[in-house]
Amino acid sequence: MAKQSIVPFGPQHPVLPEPIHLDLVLEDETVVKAVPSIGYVHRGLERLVEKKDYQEFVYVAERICGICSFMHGMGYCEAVEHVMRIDVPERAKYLRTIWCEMSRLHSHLLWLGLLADAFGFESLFMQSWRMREKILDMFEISTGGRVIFSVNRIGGVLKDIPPDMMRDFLSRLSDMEKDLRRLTQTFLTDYTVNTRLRDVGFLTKEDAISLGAVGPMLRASGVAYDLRTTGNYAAYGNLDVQPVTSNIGDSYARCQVRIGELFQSMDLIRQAAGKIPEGPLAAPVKGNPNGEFFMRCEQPRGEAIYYVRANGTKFLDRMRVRTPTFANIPAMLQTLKGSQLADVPLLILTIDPCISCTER
Amino acid sequence: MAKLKRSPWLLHYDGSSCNGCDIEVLACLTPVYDIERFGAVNTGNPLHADILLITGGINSQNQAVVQQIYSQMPAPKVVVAVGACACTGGIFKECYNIRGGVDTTIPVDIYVPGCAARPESIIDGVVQAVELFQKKHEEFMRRHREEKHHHDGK
Amino acid sequence: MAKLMPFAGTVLHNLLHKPVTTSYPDTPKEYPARTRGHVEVDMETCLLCGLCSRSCPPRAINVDRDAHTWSIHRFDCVQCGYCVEKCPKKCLKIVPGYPVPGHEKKLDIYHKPEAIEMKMGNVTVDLSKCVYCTLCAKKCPNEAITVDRANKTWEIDHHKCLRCSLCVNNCPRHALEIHEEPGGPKHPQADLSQCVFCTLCAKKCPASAITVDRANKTWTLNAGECVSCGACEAHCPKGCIRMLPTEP
Repeated sequence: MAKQSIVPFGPQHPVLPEPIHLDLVLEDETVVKAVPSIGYVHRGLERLVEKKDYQEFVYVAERICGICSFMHGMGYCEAVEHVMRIDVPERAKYLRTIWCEMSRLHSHLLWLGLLADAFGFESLFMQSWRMREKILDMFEISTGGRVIFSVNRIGGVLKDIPPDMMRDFLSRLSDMEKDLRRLTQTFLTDYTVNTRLRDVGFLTKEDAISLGAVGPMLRASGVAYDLRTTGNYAAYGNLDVQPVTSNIGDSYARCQVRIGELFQSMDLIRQAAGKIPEGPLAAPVKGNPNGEFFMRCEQPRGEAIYYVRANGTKFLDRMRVRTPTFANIPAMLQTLKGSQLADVPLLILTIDPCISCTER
Repeated sequence: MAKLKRSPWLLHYDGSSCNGCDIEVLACLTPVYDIERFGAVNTGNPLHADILLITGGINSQNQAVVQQIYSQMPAPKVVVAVGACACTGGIFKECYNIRGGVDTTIPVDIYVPGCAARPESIIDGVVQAVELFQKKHEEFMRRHREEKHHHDGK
Repeated sequence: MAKLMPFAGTVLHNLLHKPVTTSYPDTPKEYPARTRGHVEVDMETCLLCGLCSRSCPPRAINVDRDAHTWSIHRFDCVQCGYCVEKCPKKCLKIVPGYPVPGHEKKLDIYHKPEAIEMKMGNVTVDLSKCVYCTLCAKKCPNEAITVDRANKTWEIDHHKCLRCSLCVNNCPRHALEIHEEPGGPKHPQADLSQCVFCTLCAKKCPASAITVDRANKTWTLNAGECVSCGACEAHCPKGCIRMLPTEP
């Protein structure tokens, strides 16, 4: 029997932007088992609903995570709006959709950069993030912030995108598309990238479904499951969304799926900008919420569930978020079994981990 | 040019941050903002680092980790607390698991405000940290020479 | 050879265009108009009602009515803009520009000149229009209004009233009014030829600012304690007290 040794990984590691601890049980260079230990980012913010009323809590909800910030705020607002039976105006729904898709663009570009950094291709990391700055400029012009937008409120949105700003954004997106096609060609066809990504971290379709994987992790194993197709939230009911899938199931497939979603997001922004109606930005809010609701939305990392329970006072009873990274961790541990030590950072990054969302 | 005399190495650690300030710190290393113009290089090893950029507050689990990283860094060292959560605990200071800003655990030299802290503010903070590091290094070498002189004279 | 052409294109593009890197801090940064940088306050309009400090998510704003100050911890502010929304007088705004990083966490304190402070008079109610819906009492941030639907009574504690005018703005029957008082704060003056020294004004005064001595027939006012509520004028049985602006 080969000799086993334990190597601790994290919480401080050059390639990880966030603290997570794994104890890797190794036989020579092959990982046999990975034991996670989490809790470094736990702030306990779900209990802040007792101290901050339901309208002020939007500002806490959007700070659950800085990368998926807009969609956390929107998910919380939509859950409370359903409980209070508020009719959100159409223009606000379309604006939320446009900002959601821009969030997905910047999140996937961020991930592509971190993936390149994980296997050592630093100049590709720099190029991806250089392109990402253009989207952050668009966010700053329309909402006032680069990372945390503070533009959601219960009943609608706070700021508008007037038509000339929208035309400017669409022309910037077209300029970006040409650059992006060249960048993503490198990811898909370069020899070194292919050697590091292909046949690494297999997840079969049956395993993906039984372990509860969500998002691109699930779609790269051949399951066409995307919550935007249900059309239940924002303005997705009026847009044409086809899930991007791949049948291969390894890290290369996950890279391919996210790159496909980049171009799909640009197309969705164009569709929404073409169909957006005139109208008010927010509906008036009267009274306090009473009741409970489950709200699901498709974040860049997968399916997120928001549960809100209210009892008629201005403080909510309970607010709970089930984030996609939490659902993907068992699938990640499965892919780590049998892999090489040098591939461990890469495999942790393929689920697009957002530990601050998971631990709140 | 005095700024480029010594090139300090940066270490970035995230202690219970929401990631907003972390991605702005990483954005500073990318071509559009580029802190490497000031001579700073990003490293992953605390034993090689001179400047520590901490984001996020301190909670009960990462207090020991932050103290260990601080003690692993060789003197002279500069600590920069980036973001409202690292300065005072920010919007989460009433949470049960957050003990406060970074200055509850380790001494902080420079505070950078904002939520998320903008790359321009981070560049200002890092430029001040580089100058402070120069001063600390000169002070350290002067004391080292005095002690050596005193030891050799005995 | 085919691989050389795209590379040559990239090299030419980089040689002919300026670099992507910003030259901050040598050139200052121009922020877009909507950037949320820091909060600015107009102390002339500010009522020191404290609604901003109650709604600030990180509790960075502090309003001290006794010391006439409005202060903000610059390094605690998360630039969310909620205080700007909540201010009833719209004296706050959020503008581009960030506090400079440094060794200490800055606390900015703004003082309000005292003479301007009591610009707002009292809240008055027109009972013929009031339907006792209790909306004003629910909106009051300091719980100064008490409305009894069953007995049809409406009362206000002028000492607790912050003059924020939220009740006036929310009344569905427009039964409440509040006006700016010209000439600064008003204090009671008693016409001693009519006064019978019944001490009712001293008993009704919520601030205990009036002292009436029945034996020596004296009526004195402590102007520093007086909150200009006008209760003495309303309750005097002889009508000999009038609220007049103080001499400058």
